[in-house]
Amino acid sequence: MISVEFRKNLNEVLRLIAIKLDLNETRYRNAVEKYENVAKWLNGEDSKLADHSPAIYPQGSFSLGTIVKPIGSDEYDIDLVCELKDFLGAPDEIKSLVGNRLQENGIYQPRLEEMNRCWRLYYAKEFHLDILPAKPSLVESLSNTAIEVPDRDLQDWSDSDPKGFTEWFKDCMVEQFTINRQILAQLKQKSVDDVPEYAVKTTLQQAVQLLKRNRDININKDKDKPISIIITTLAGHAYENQADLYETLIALVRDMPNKIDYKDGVAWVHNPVNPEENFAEKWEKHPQRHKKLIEWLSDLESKLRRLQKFNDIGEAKSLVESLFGENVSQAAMEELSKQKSANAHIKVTAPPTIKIDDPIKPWKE
Amino acid sequence: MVNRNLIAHEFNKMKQDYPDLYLLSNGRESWKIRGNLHFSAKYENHLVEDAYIVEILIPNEYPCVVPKAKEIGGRIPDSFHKFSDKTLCFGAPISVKRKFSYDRTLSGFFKNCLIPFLSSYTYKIKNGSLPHGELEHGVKGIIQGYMDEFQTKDIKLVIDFLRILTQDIFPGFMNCPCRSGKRLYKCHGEKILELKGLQFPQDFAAELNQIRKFLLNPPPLP
Repeated sequence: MISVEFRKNLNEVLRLIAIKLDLNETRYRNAVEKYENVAKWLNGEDSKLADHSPAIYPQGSFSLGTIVKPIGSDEYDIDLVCELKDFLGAPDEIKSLVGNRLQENGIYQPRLEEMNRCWRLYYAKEFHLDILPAKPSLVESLSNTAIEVPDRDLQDWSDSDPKGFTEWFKDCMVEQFTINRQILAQLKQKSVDDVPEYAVKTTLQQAVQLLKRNRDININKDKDKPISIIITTLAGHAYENQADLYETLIALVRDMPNKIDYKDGVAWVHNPVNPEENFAEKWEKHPQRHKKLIEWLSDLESKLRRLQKFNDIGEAKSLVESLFGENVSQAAMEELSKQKSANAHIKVTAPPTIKIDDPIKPWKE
Repeated sequence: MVNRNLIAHEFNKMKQDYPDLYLLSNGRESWKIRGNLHFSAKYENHLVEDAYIVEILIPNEYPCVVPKAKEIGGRIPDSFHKFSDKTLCFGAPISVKRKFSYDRTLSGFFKNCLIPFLSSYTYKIKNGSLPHGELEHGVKGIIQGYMDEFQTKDIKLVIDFLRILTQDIFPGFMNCPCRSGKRLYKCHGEKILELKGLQFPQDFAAELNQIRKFLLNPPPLP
């Protein structure tokens, strides 16, 4: 059984690893400022897009709060949508319209790269902004945040709903989010409304970050590795608002396989905002990808459980490094040591020993 | 509506022993406490030290009504002694009320209800079973709870005592149902009076009803 001290240290190391993989507050605000400026440019008086009131908003892990630094790079992938109202043209036209306007700007033009469906703005050693043009969906059965984006061949439109997915994901963790925000407000002596949403992290977000990191460290080059949307969706379904990050990780890797549905023998990971969409549709053609996901989770579960055999965070060092990478794990452990040294002068009183007399027996209704 | 000053005062006292707890408002003057409860407990010669992330819900009728608590770290499975709303089931209802009545404060709640429960779970994980046993689920557990309260294994006696508890009056002069030959007030009367103060006669009547139904129609064996 894990001791109180080891559990506390393990949770702190895991939390620090997640923080170090995440965008720090400065970079986050910098990214927001940059994309807001892009939006202003696209909406400029002389812009051909101005009539479409272009709006830029986050999607993907940037929107969910689960972004992790890619392996071997200092640049984060920040995914954005550029939604144009009342656009009646073809998918390739929406892409050109946005790209042309960006190229007209002397600051953006040298940073700009054309990708398959989107435009990438590079900010060296910080991040790149991937701007995906889109238009609102007219399909009535979908939510009012649903959009259409150019498909991979720029021939047709594909359905998407990043705002809807973000709302669903936030809903999965609303309890933890609300309480953590309140606690953070108390610690910073601010009102709850003065604590920005992006500053609050839940165990779900950090667990997803750690899962993605473990995948990147161990099976990054494998073309059958689980994709992030599947990891995130299954984790959201399996999460029970646990407050302990280590327990959250164990519960997720154990329960995620049970959240896969099977319809007529076909595995489904339903898009929670569009149940007709199967995030795992490629598994039919590539069944080894399904197998890979299950094996990866099972292997990760046994490694995570092995952490319980240690008494001291130092003893667990090489296992933690093998799970999440040497550099970031070492950095997290060093920071934990620094925290302890900084707090060494604070006298921590042990809790009083309660003597239990006349105990009552637990019951269940 | 619970008295805000009372809660704040009691919480600040608790914070000295349990510094990782936070008092949070649910809005509308309802309160909860959340945080890491690091405790140390001793039962006979077993010392248990552990820490659980807990959430304590302070009911509007506090301190007349016992607070509820959840373990939110994810360590205690739902299959352990929990209600359907995932709050922890410290014991049979009457026993929980009795224990809380000894000290109707947050500190008393921690000492007499919450920490003994959590330390039992830690003990079970370490040693394989609960240190002072457990009640069965449902009505059977309520019966066992009363058997523990009255220190008897005689279910007819439990029913006799419960019948007395369903009355408004205290019939101290009757012969004690335990057949000691003594008057009730000189025998089990003290226990009866203690329990009488914890809930209304109709609450005892409801439990008695449940027990009678259970005895007439015991559930089928699995």
